[in-house]
Amino acid sequence: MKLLSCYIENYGTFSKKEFNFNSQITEFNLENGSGKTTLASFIKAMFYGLEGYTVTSKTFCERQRYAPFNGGEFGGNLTFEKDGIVYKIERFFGDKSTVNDTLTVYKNGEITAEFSDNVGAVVFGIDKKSFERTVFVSSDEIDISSTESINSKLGGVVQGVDDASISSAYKELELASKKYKKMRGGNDIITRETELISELKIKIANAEAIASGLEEKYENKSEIVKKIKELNLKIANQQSLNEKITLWENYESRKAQIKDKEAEFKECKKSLKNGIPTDCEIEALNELINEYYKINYELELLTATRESDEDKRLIATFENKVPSSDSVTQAENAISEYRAIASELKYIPETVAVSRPIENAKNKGGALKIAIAITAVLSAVGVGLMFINTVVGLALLGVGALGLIIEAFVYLNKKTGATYSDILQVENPERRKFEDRQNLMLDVVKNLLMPYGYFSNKGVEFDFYKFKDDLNKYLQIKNHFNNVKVEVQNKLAKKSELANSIEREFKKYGEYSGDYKARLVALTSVVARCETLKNSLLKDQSLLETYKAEKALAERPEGEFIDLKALNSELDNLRTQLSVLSKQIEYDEDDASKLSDYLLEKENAEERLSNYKHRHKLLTAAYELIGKADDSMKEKYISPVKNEFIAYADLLEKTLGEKITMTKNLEISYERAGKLRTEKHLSTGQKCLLALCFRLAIVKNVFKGETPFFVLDDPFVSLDENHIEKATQLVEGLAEKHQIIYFTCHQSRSVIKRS
Amino acid sequence: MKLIHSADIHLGSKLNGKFPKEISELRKQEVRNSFLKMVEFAKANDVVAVLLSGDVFDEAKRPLQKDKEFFLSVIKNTPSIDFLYLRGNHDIMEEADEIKNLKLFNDEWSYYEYDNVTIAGVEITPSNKTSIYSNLSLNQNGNNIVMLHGDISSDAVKDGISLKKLKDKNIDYLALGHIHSYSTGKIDARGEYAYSGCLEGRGFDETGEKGFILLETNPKITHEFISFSNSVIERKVVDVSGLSDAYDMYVKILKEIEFNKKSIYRIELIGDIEAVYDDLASDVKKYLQNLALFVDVKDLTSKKIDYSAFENDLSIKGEFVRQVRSDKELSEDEKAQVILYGLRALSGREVEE
Repeated sequence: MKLLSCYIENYGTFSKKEFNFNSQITEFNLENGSGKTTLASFIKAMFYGLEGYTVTSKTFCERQRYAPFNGGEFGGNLTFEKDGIVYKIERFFGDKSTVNDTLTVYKNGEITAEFSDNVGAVVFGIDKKSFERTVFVSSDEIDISSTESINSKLGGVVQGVDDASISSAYKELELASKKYKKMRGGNDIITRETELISELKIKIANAEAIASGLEEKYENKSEIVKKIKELNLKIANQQSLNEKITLWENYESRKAQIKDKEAEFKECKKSLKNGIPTDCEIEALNELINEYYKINYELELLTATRESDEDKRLIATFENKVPSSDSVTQAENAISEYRAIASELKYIPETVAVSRPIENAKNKGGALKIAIAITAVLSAVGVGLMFINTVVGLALLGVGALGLIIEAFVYLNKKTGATYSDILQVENPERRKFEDRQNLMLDVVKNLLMPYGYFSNKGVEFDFYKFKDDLNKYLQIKNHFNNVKVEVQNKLAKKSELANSIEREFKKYGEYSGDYKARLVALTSVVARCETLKNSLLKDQSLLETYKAEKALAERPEGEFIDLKALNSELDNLRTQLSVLSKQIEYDEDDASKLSDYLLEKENAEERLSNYKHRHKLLTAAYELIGKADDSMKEKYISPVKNEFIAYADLLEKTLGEKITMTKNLEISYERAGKLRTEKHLSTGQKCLLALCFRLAIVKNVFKGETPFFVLDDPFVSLDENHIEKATQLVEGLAEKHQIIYFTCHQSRSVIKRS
Repeated sequence: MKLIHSADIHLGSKLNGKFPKEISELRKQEVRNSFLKMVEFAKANDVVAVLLSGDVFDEAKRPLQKDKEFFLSVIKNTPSIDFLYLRGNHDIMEEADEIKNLKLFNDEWSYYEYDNVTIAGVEITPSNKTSIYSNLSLNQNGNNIVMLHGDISSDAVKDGISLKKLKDKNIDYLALGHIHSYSTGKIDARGEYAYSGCLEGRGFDETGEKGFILLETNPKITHEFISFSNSVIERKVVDVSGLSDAYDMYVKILKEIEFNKKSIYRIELIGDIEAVYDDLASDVKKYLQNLALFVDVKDLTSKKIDYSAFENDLSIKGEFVRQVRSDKELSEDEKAQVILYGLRALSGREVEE
């Protein structure tokens, strides 16, 4: 590969400046500040770009350093040839960041996309740092130690691939390994898993503690359940006993009631003397009493029959002086004769001369005496009867009294009796005769009527018929009352007989006050009560027996009646305890049941942990074995580098006076006074030469195919004349196979001149 | 008359082994659901009694309160069916729950009569372990079922049952519990034994169809296994020799296994393959995960490194492989993994992909 030219649009002090490069050595012998480092930087920047910076960046980077002094577009292009192809890299840079940077690569004049932003890495197969440490050699102090990139490149060269990177392999393995276990910090899978296992152990311990505590709770629960059962049994037994006692007490109570009832019945029965009358007997008695009262009623009705005023008058008129039927008939005949005479008188002249006195009937005194006697008797009987029958007594007394009054009147009337006289001058005696006869007839009638007081101005005939009618009425009344009297007597007799019978019957059952009905009611009531008591007693006894049999009441149950309230309260309390405990057990079981989950989780975690540890172990093993392989590779492939280095270093050995060696890590050391020392003990000039040799050796091995150019930015500034000579020889040798871009600020260090 | 013989329900049990928590919880619920479904089956088929030959619960010492309440609630709500519950080594119900249709056993023989069938059972304890055989008394002319919980493979073990000593005891059917897979065999000329197995598999050690046994007692006792589990757990071995790509392996697995969406699978990959995967199982699993309720892939393959390919490789890679090969401490599988890591790292790739 060869650089052909470059055009700098603006870069540091350069502006619109073009440089062409020779195929072997192109030396830029320029004064300090004339831009040799700028050009070197430009070439590097074309391949690798410029790092961006921010205001906070602490280092003064190349983008800042080489920003165009005079402004304008920052960048340019570089043309190079590789494998017969001409490439042109055209880059322009933004102010600070890389955002506005542009890159265009031309391949034989055509834009190509085969390069990424990092053209240098593609072209050289090494990164910027490696570039700087291999083909780009500046005057700054050179770190001649190997870089990972160089090592990687060495391996890559051997295996023929470019992307192989031991360092990235280490990184990947380390990354994977750290995922499982970090050296510090603990934020890795194994630590987390270990912590998880610890947490699970705690959870397991807690769950186990809860589980073991459950045993006691189970026992407590069993105990409570047992107590509840016992208490339930006790309550049931007591309830049964209570019921039995209640039944028994009920039985005894009923029995006592029956006993009382028996006593009551006995007393009731006792009051009936000869026992409880049958219904027939009661009925018979009832009939007797009814008969009695019926007769009594009839008697009352009979005795309640009262004479009317007319009856009284008739009785007063005719009591004890009832005219004989002959006298009535005689009077009636007299009336008939009188009427007949009257009819005849119509035809007889009236005038006759006759005069004669008419006397009052002399026999009247005897009749009055008889009447008085009768009425007196009647009155006396009336007074006497009043004590038996008031009504009848009073009636008789009234009749008697009335008769006496009438008799007194008659008597007085008799005492003052006047004498009548008829003075007829010329009267027809015939007629007189008839008239006398007529008068006689009248007298007959009058004689009959007079004692009874029948005389009125309506005539004798009228009076007679009135009398006769009254007499008939009287006789009827008298007959009626006589009949009543008989009937009363009969009924009284019957009543008396009934009363005797009733009394007799009552005496059989006991003493009862009041009338018969009341007594019967009382008796019936007693009988009924007795019957009721008897029936009730029988029923009660039967029921009690049934009750006793049904309830199997043989004898009073042993034990006492106990109120279940306290026991039930105790039961409720136990049930509450059981409920609470059951709830606790439920919660605990839930927690304890997680034990298997925790154990499984722990088992899984432990398995994962084991797996992670195994993986970590395998990753570590892979890391270490790659290390071993790397060591082996270095052992195997470092020799060419070492040999190459020593080939270059031989040139310097005499100058340095030291024996130069290189470790497997490509670290340079030398022996002095028998001790192995690092390059740090060398002078800067010595270091510079060693570094150059090392670079050349590495490049020789790294780039087995087409080797790149070398940019030497005044690397020999620290060398003395002798060293410069050696260095010039090196450069000349190098230029035979590699393009050299050499910058120096002093003619003394010109390699052109020397060669 | 129909009876159901079931055992080892393990209420409250989660899946054994490394399953995702949600799958484990789901299976726990499915164990309950299967028990309920079995009871529904019993009701629908006029089953007179359910014979539970132990291990109804999972907890070693005593059942969890909620599991016990669930179990008892199911029984209480199924009064038409008797549940003959032989407590196994996992079930300790200290509280004597008085439920009419829950029939319990103890350490002495208990006998329950159903029509022409006598069901006898005893809970084996260290103290009665040897005496139960001589104390068993069954009518020669009856149909006799015996319930036991233990292992018939050896009577020397803790839960051992001597099948030999149960010979000629007039047993027609021995309803066993303890072994989680259905199996059956002869006791003597007359009787047969059967393990009903569990209702649901609970891990990759309980694979295959699970369910219960339906017994018909008229005129003689016959039995039929009813496959009943909600999900079947399967273990399948697939040889992926020569395959270097997870997708190729997935295709091969699909050819060999017909996946059921409700089932749980463990696919064990065997054979010799190139060491190109650091987590082959995980990569293959990604392809399979939606084909079933849960798929676990276990990489049991042997990773092979073609060392000859690196013999003439003078690069750092070749040197690295040679270094690994010569390592004395790493196993071959480890070497394969280390080489995988190293080569990736040296190729500038991420070490773990």
